Amino acid sequence: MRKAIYYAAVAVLAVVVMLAILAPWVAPYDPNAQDLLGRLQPYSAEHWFGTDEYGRDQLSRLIFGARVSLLAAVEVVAVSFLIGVPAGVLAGFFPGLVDGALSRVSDALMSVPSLVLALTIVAVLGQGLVSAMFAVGIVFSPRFFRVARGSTYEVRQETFIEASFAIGCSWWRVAWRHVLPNAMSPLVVQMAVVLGAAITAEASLSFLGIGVQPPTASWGGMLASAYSNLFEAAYLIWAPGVAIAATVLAFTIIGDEARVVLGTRQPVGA
Amino acid sequence: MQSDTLLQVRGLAVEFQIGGQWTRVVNDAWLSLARGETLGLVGESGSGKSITSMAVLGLVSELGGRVASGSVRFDGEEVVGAKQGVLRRLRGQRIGMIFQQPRRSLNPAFTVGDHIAETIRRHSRVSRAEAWKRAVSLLDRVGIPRAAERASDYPHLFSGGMCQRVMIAMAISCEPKLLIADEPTTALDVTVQAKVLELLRELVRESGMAMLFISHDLTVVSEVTQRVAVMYAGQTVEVGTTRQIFSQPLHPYTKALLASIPGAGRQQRLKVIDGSIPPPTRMIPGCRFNPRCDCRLSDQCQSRPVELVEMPDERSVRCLRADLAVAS
Repeated sequence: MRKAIYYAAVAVLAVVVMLAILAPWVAPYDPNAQDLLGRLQPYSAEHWFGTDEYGRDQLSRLIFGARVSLLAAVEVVAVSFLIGVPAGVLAGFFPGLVDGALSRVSDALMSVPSLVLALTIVAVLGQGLVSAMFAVGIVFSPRFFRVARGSTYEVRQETFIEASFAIGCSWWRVAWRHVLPNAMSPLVVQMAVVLGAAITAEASLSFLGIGVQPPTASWGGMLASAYSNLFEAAYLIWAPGVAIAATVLAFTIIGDEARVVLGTRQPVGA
Repeated sequence: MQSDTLLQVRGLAVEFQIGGQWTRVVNDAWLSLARGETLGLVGESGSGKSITSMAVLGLVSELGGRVASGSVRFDGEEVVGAKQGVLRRLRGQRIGMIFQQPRRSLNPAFTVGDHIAETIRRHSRVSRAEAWKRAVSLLDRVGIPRAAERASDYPHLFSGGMCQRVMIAMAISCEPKLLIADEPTTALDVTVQAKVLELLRELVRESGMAMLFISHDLTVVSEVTQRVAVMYAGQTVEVGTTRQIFSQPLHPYTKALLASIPGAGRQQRLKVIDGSIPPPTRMIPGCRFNPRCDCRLSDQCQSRPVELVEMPDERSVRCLRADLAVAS
């Protein structure tokens, strides 16, 4: 059963990724082509998921929106990973002052509601998807920090770390070559979880209008426009809503499976 | 004479933080090791053997401790307070080290060949391919069958004895002048133990490197070493040739240790030393062994610390009553 759910999640994600990559070829219409005479149409053979307030094809926008969502999610993970992991390894490696300082910063970041901090950072960096996702990346970095710190601290106690010092490795080489590869598996799990969370974050920011700028299609933006036409065309809310939910769920399930498969790191030997 | 000395540890004291207090774990350790010589360092668990060897590599601060006083001179250079760059060249290149738990001393994320090649590439400018080639020949040298194939296997595919061979290959990869073997055979079963010891002896004989052999197994020590230093509660209590130590021990602790070696076919109850080693947080004044000693003097032995003194025949002992042993 668990496996079946996992395969379903992989299938969903594979479809989303394929659609995102092949968007220009598989989308039936130009996502930004307006047809003001055919506004807010219900589902039909020509427009599977109907049309929005400007008569744009919902299906095409959904497909192009997948690109935005996935790219945004990858950006968030990249930013938070690159900030969180080195800081976490450092903190785990040098308990005491370094750990204390970095952990306090991380705690402070975690105590701030993520969207509020993202809004503030967007206000400073300016609107746009890239800066918005950069902001979310910063907000999410404590998640990687904490995991990296914990597993570094654990791996640090192993004899082979002592052994690598004894062959003349410098501390950063020990951290990079010997600690990090052994601390990777929980980070991989965390990556999957953050990818899902990032898609929600992107949708939320775009919904609020500070993420992707119109007319570019995004799931959050589609949700926003469907929401504003809720009383005339309630059916429009389904496509982006289900897309977001399904993708986030798929990432979470895959993360869960990764956790089971990778397990907690088993120390070798006696 | 001086140039013959490879390693000299004098009055070494090492402290670690225990419960927020800097506590002396090693208090007055003395060692000297000539080129090509094998010195056994024996003592109970917690007597400071391993910490002393870490100090030789300058690794005390990496483990969170500090050297409080004393000096460690290796090949004419002071190790205590040396710069990181100097220490890194020392470790792996001029001093090789093998550990007690071979399977835990290898990084599970790398192949065994990588381990050896990394050590080589840390210390000499050779290409990746060249380092790998050397790694394979080293694996072959330490008796790993099908070395070329097995070099690309991961440590979990090796048994404990084989892992220890890999560690040995790593340790000797840069032809060090000193090999520190920290209880290299404790985690291995007896037959494997014998083979690993034989390999070590062979390597020492062929390469002319010195070996600091740390062990609490006196039988093993008597087989491989020329000289022995006995440690108790962070102090060196007796130093002498292996023959002297085993046939005519001067320190009551050494005597007690020798008396508690189990012998095959012996019917009587095994002798044990009453009491236990005092914890470093609660150090007794006077001779540290006095509460467990059966020839202590009630005042001198308990009031002030006992110094390590030189005795005839180039041996030294930390006991006020050593003359008793000499006389008998």
